[in-house]
Amino acid sequence: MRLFFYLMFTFLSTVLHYASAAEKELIEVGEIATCTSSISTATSTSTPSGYFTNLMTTRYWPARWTCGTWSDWEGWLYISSDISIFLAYFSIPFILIWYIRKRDLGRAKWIVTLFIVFIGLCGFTHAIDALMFWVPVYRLSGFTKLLTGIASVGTAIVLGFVFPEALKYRSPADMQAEINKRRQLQELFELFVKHSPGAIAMFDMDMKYLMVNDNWIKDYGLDKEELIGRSHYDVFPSIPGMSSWKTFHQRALNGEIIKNDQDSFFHNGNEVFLRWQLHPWRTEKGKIGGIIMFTELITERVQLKEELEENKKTSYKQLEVIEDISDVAKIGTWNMFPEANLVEWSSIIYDIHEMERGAAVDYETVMGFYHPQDRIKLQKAIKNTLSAEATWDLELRLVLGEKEKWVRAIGQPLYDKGIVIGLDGLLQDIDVSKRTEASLTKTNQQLALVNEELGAFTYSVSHDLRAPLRIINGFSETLKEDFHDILPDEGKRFLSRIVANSQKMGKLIDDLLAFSRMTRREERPTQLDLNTMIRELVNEVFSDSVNFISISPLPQVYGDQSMIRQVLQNLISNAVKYSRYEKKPQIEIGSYEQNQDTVIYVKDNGVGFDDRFISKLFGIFQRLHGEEEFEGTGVGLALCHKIISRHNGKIWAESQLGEGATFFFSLKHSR
Amino acid sequence: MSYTEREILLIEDSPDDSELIQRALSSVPHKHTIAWVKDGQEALDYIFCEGPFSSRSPDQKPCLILLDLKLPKVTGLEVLEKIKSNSSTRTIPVVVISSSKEPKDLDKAYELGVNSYVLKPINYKDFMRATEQIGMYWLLVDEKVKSP
Repeated sequence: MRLFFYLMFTFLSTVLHYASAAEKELIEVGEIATCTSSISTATSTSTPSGYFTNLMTTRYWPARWTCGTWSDWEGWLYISSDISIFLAYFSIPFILIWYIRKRDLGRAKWIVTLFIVFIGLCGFTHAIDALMFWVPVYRLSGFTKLLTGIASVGTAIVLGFVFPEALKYRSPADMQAEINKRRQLQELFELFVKHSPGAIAMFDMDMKYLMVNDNWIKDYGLDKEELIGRSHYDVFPSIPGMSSWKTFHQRALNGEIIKNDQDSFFHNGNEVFLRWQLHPWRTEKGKIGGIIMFTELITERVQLKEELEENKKTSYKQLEVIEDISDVAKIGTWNMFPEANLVEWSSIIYDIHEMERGAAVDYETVMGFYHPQDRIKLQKAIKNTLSAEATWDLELRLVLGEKEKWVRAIGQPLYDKGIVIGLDGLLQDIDVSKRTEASLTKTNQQLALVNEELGAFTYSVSHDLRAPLRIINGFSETLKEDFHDILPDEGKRFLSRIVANSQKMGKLIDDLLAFSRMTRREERPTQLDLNTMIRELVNEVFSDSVNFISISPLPQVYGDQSMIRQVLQNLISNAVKYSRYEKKPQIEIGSYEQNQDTVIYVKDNGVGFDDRFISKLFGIFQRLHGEEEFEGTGVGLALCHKIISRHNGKIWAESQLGEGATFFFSLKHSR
Repeated sequence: MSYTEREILLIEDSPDDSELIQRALSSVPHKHTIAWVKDGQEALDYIFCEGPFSSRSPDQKPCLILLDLKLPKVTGLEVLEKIKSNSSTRTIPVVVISSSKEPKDLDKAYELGVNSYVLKPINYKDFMRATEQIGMYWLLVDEKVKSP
């Protein structure tokens, strides 16, 4: 608009200049030349009414060609100039009319219209001037000039008023600078929108896109070229929750600012989280022009947050488990900062000290709980940790009123940036286990003592019980030797009874000693070759019976050499003993596998035993046969049972009275 | 051939055992005397010519010591240790005659340098035979060592 005024003004000043120049020339011509031929003698009426009624009259003046002496050159210069001015001045209004039709000029429209009239009239005066070389329409010319004058003066006056305003209009350079500045601003603005964080879209009142930033295009996978001018609802025809969105948009269009810090929707089956804001925007006049929508996809952040929450929950759970465990195990944690005289206990430690949970404790309080002897140990340990970074694990006594309580205290240095700033550790209530341990130790000591006494007892038995027997035996024999001749037969018989019984008692003592020794001895198991062992045994001990003992090949077993030998010796010895009245005694030694163990058996065809008394078979001093029939002390099988039990094996027997007996025992193949 | 009279020291607290041992030794053909002491202390006094035996000449050493282990005051093993750790008595043969079959007694006795360990058999005849053989063996060995 301002530009137009400027152009108008320059144009007008140019036209005026030319008009005045033409005017001036006319005047000069008039002053110099004189009318040389006169067509009429009548004088012109001078009243205005007559003037206007005969405006077109040519009676009173000659044509310009005939007035003065015009050379053709002079005349046609004049005429052609006037006509060209007329053509120009007459065409300009048309251009201007076309211009004001095309452009909305506002108030300037009237100035231009005035200018159209003025310049049209100017052109017209020049046309009449040219015409008057042949047709002297001076009255029309005068009238036209009057109108032109009025229009010129009017225009000049209006321009005078408009001039100060026109002065405000900037020069083209200013305009260019302005344009450049605006362009820069525009570019800056576009960059601002393009790079602003989050997705931003500007809508008009109909929710049509006015502007979006790149994030909006990117976040929602849109095409920017097709977006601007389209309705938001056309772009997202099937967005979930559109009805509520429409409500939000409407509220924002009514001037409300609406926010949501965490919203979610499903996109391609995935839950998408976003944060959004709706702001109305206003025109310069303060009228709402539409809304600006800001959204930010926060799915990752939300997921991360949820993950963190989940982790937090898990670690809380773990903490709870640890707390439960520490509750059961009666273990608590503590830390100590000697410089600040600060001690922190977990709740379990308060329980161990039988104190109210959370009560304030310091170094002195802690130390006060310990038994004076143990306190010294603890103080030393703490000092050592602070100075030499040593760790400790001590069993100490707390004094709680009347009673003492054993605790296990573990401590270590606590570092901050490589510097020891205090200590931390564990405290466990070990009172029960400590007391159990103490009582176990006591029991063990007592057991050891009993064992020792038992050892002394057997030692004494082996010496002292045997000695009198030997003496009885010895003197009986001496009696027989020295007084054989004078002893009556009855006396000799009594003597032999004495000797036999003392010998029997000797056997009993020997068996008992063997049993006792076996029970006290630690077994030393090795891999045993039973084949060799039995062959040796039979050859050494049972050489008389070798003819009726059959031995199947036996596997290797795991056991104590001398103990297993003792078992085999006892079983074979029994087999021999109880089958000695058979006409054809038969003893069979063999083995079989059972439940990954090896079972060895010794089978005879002797008298057997009544299996009603089978439970007594392996008891010490228990016998199932009379002394007269079969001698024995009742220790042999008890010893076998003891040995096999100590090898974690089993021993058992099967028999029918009069039909022989089979004794079995099981042993491991290997360790 | 004639045999020099030798002395056997019998250390035995039981008079019954002592009598039976002496009876058994009486049938040994080598000429010998038997000195009998009843406890470990008396035995040491006798061997080292101390206390009640201080008038004994230290050169008069027994040619065989028969030692019971279970003795009043000083035990048989202690006596054995003293004998075998003293250079003047170390060479005297010591035979333990004991009723103890305990391996620890046996081991300890051999460790201390006993020359023989004989178990007192319950059977009288075995006992007599064993004692007799011991007496004969050591007296004979002694004979061979000492005779020029």
